[in-house]
Amino acid sequence: MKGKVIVITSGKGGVGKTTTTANLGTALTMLGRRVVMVDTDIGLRNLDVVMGLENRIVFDIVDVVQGGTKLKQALIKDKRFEGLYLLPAAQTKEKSAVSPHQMKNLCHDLKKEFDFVLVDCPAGIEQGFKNAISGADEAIVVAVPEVSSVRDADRIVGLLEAAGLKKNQLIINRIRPRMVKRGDMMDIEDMIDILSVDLLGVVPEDEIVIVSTNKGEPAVMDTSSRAGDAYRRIARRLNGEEVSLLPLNYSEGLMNKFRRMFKMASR
Amino acid sequence: MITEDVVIRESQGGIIICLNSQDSFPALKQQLSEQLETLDDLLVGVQVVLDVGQRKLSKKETQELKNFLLEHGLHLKRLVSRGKSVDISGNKGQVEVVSTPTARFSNQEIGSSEETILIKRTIRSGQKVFFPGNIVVLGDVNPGAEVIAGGNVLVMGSMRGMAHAGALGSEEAVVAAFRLNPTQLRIAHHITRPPEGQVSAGNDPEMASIKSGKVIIEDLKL
Repeated sequence: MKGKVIVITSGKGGVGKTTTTANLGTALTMLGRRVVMVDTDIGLRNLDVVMGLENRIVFDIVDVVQGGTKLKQALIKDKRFEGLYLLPAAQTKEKSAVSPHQMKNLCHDLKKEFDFVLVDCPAGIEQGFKNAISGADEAIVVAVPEVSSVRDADRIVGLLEAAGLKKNQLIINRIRPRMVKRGDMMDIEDMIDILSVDLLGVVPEDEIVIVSTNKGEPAVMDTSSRAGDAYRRIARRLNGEEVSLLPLNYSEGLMNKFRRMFKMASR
Repeated sequence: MITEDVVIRESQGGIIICLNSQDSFPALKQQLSEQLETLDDLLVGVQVVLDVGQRKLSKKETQELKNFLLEHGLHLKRLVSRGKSVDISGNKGQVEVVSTPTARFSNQEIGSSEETILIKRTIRSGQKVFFPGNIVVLGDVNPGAEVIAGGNVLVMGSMRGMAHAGALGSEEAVVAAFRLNPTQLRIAHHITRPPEGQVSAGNDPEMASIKSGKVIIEDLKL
């Protein structure tokens, strides 16, 4: 059965596209699927760093599309997980080194070998974005609960729909339930009201993400990470399971209880 | 800004662009470029009649304009110059010259245009709609989106973006919405924005119009 190409995009930078790609890729592999993660942020590649695979890069996406290198040579197999591969971006080239047409062909080839092709899209709406979406069947839009992010996400959804991508889903990232309760942060309903796209999942703000990213280990590997837990649930949804959305207050209250028990300062 | 030098009018399933200025050819292209930027993507594929007033265009200039319009997804069907109308949509080399009276479009004519377009979707951030007549949106207008009409703007949803009614000068135009919470509102030459620090109370249908020289917002009793 042919695989699915999903582009992970946001418009706004720094909201968690790369983190989401890394974690969803890893989580889907943990569910037994064959996944390839493609980094299309040429010149500012991060996916390899976040996955801890930086040292193993020999060939990259530009080498492949320009015809010199075979796909098999460029793909990096993650030794920690069965069926997880990375196609890194080039660091020393420019975004014009790849064309939408080449990207489409690449995705077409990758689809034959993998269940999921996760395309990590760069920030912005220019060439990099256009390349990243050209081979995609579906899109995941990542946004944080901030006005600027919602503006950008709305723009992105408009561009995705104009490009013919009808199945677009939203991940709300880095939400802080206490701030939402106080009214200091946008809540989920406000965002969906403006964006009008299906909600795929909600990921809470989690310090563990920062720590694990720097170590090159996706947060889904850490069972105590709330964000990791959210990503694992999202992966199950992508895999076709019906998983309910975790009520935000629940995990927050429990954590505070534990902290109080061990006399730790509440965050 | 839409000036009298460049005017766009809808006619029989296509649009007529009038470039009345006497500036040099590069300046003409620049004006045309600015006008094309205001056109919404949904006018792509539309037939264009270009009226260049008293100007005379060489074959090369005509071809340049044709290609330029094509880049924006518009097909140059007919060129009207010095009262003569030339059909360009046909095959290469085949040109039919038809004499017609010089077309002149005044603001008055367009201001009273009754033509209306209906847009059956939400208009998202970064999208712009322009139409010389009325615009009805069956959906929301999100912040960062712009709806510009020569006539009235009616939004059957939440109006959260920018709307400009009476964009060609008509002060009788109105902006109405089920929920009126715009970032900015313009009617004819008046520009207004919501008062500072106001909690958006717009949950009932409202209409903005000009009364006694000011933009006022009142409840729309449906």
